[in-house]
Amino acid sequence: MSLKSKFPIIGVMVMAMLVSGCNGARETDQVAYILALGLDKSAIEGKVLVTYQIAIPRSLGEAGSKIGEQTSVNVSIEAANLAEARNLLNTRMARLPNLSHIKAIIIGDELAKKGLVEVVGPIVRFREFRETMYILVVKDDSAYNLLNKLKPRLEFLPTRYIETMMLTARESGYFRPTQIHDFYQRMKTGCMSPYAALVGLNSFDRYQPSAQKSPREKVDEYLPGGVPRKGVGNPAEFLGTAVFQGNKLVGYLTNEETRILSILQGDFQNAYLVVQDPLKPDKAVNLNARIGSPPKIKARLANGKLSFDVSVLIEGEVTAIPSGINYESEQNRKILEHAFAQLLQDQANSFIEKTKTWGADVVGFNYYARPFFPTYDDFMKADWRQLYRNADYKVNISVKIRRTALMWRTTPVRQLK
Amino acid sequence: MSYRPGQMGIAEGTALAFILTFPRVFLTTPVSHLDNSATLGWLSPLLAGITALGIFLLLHQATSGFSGDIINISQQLLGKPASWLIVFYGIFLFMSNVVLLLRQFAENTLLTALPSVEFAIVTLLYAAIAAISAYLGIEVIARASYLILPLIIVAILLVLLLLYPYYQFYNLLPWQGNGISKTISAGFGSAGLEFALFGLLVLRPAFQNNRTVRTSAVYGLGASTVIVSISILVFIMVFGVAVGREKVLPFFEMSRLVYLSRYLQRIEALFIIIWVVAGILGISANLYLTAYLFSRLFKLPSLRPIIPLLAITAVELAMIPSDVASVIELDRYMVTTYYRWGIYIIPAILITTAWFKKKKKVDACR
Repeated sequence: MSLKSKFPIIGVMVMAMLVSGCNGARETDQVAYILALGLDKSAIEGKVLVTYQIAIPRSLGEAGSKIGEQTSVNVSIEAANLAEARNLLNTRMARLPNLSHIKAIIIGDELAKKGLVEVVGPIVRFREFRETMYILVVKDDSAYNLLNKLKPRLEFLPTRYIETMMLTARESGYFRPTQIHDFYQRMKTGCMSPYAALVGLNSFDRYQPSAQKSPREKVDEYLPGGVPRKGVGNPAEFLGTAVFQGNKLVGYLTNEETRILSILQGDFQNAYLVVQDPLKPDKAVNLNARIGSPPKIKARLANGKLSFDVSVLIEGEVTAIPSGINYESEQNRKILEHAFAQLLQDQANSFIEKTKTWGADVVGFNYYARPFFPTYDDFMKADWRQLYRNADYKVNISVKIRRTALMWRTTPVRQLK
Repeated sequence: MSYRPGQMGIAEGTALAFILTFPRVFLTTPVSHLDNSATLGWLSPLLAGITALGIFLLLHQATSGFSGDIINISQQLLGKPASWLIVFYGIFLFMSNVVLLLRQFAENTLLTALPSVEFAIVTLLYAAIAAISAYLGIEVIARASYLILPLIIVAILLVLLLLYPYYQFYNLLPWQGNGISKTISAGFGSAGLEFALFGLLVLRPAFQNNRTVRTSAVYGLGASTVIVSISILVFIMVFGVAVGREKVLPFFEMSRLVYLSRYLQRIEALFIIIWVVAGILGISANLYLTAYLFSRLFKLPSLRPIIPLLAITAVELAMIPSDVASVIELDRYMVTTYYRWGIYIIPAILITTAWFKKKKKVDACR
């Protein structure tokens, strides 16, 4: 083979060596991995309080992973914005901050009310942030407090705890895992309301239901911090939803309202529903429920007014009948199905009324009205806040009891004289 | 002449047509479809592809009775001065494509994978690899493309499938987008994106026969167009128009969003390799076509010596724009002006002339 014909082969080999190098690479002991980012309104005008939760890799290793050992450290900085906070973080920490492993962005209540447009924009733009990060709002408290008080027992890392909470959220439907991707998309379109999972700190000395019970409701509704809890432990509570209008926080949905949101969005995976026993009102009946078929939402437009017909099928398995009434029989089963359906329907109606007062289309009803607009520009020009408020909603939730668990005929407990 | 090509078959031709028309899906081009057609943005590339393929097949059919490559044919049809102009225009198109792709792929490497590397080094490396590939010849580029083709298609379809949890079909509504007429006009207007397909006619003698060229164009551009259209469809479903319009790298953003579980996420690093390979092969093919046209124009005995010169020139030109936003704007401008004229006007002249010549011949026979 002549030298001339060897040239390309040599060239390819040289290139392979050059391009496979680790240009710009850093050893792991040069990098500080930030796992969560807390953002609060600062006491200093024009600044934000940024709290970084940074992993301590040494304590996460096999040798160092002892229960109770500190696995992360929190650093808080007041700065004009996120970029400046990062610069300032670098002045006190030897390792280079790396944001690409952030699992959650936690927003303090006050900042959320002030508006997030200056916060979310850079997060979506900067390469190290990922749109799969979860966004949470701390009710009546700061992200700083939450990150400093968050002490999970079962997980080594607080962020692993948050991530696991989000991945298992569909088991109760009491909070909605929200990623930055969804939040930003809703914020940008302007016709849907962004929302975020709501979190709070429990002081272990309160019992504070957040709403009046509806007639058929047997359980209390809560917002974070209001659940009656005893003892010591992790004070964090994930319950409910923070609802935004544009980029500002306008209100909260309770745990039950959040579950209705899941049902109307067709994302209700599994939860226990509790209803007043229709034949013995001092007792309750439990149903392990899930969505039977995705919600069918039909939109109509007449004289500039929208109306929506929503029909949802919930199916489930009875898990407890403390009254001993034979609800497995066809006649009684129908009574029970009706009671559950009525409970959910009442909750859905009050959920819609509540969001109408904010003009906040949390469910995303506007998707179903899009066919009425000939072009995208026409759709974007519509005043969705007003359309949502003025629209009529007819919700029809039906419940089908498919199974009765391991019993097929309940009999009452014999009362001995 | 040493640059006289070999005998490429349908497989190589298909891969070549694909790699010449596909790499822009990894750049900002899908966003311009959203700008033009909003929720109907997925239709624009289909229309552009069908238009380009239609013109290609017409030109191919019209010139099938003539021998040689497109330069010989234009000489026979229009005479030497006009054919030189066409070759000059071809050089301008392919070279500008090399420059634009080089700059954008280099910028995107910095943006996505290697933020601390010097921009000039990345550009030089890209150009050097493209030059070596072009030096090895068009068959090597085509076969390398053929090897990577299944990987590119599978990788793209995999990303699109893994994004299933984020699909929001209602993001495709209102289905008329910015209006049907605007979409059709945008579709025809962006046909210039596929001008590089005509590289197959430039290299016609490299193929086994005319049927090979035609079949390769249909399969290559067909696959490229369908995948680009599906990618944009998924992009709209996942990001919506309002957010989608803001993105610089739609495909990268889509791959970054894959999150099926704690254990299946952060897979974009795998796809960066795919699009870098596709980009370099695209640049190589365009560089080869530029060198080929140069050597034909100046009747050079070999095209190989001018490849390094063209590569260095491309690097220099790629570094002229001061920022990436200007490059994206320039790319859009080129597609909607020079590339568009290239795909409509030159073929129209050649088809009309060929038709008249054929008619004249038939009349003379009578």
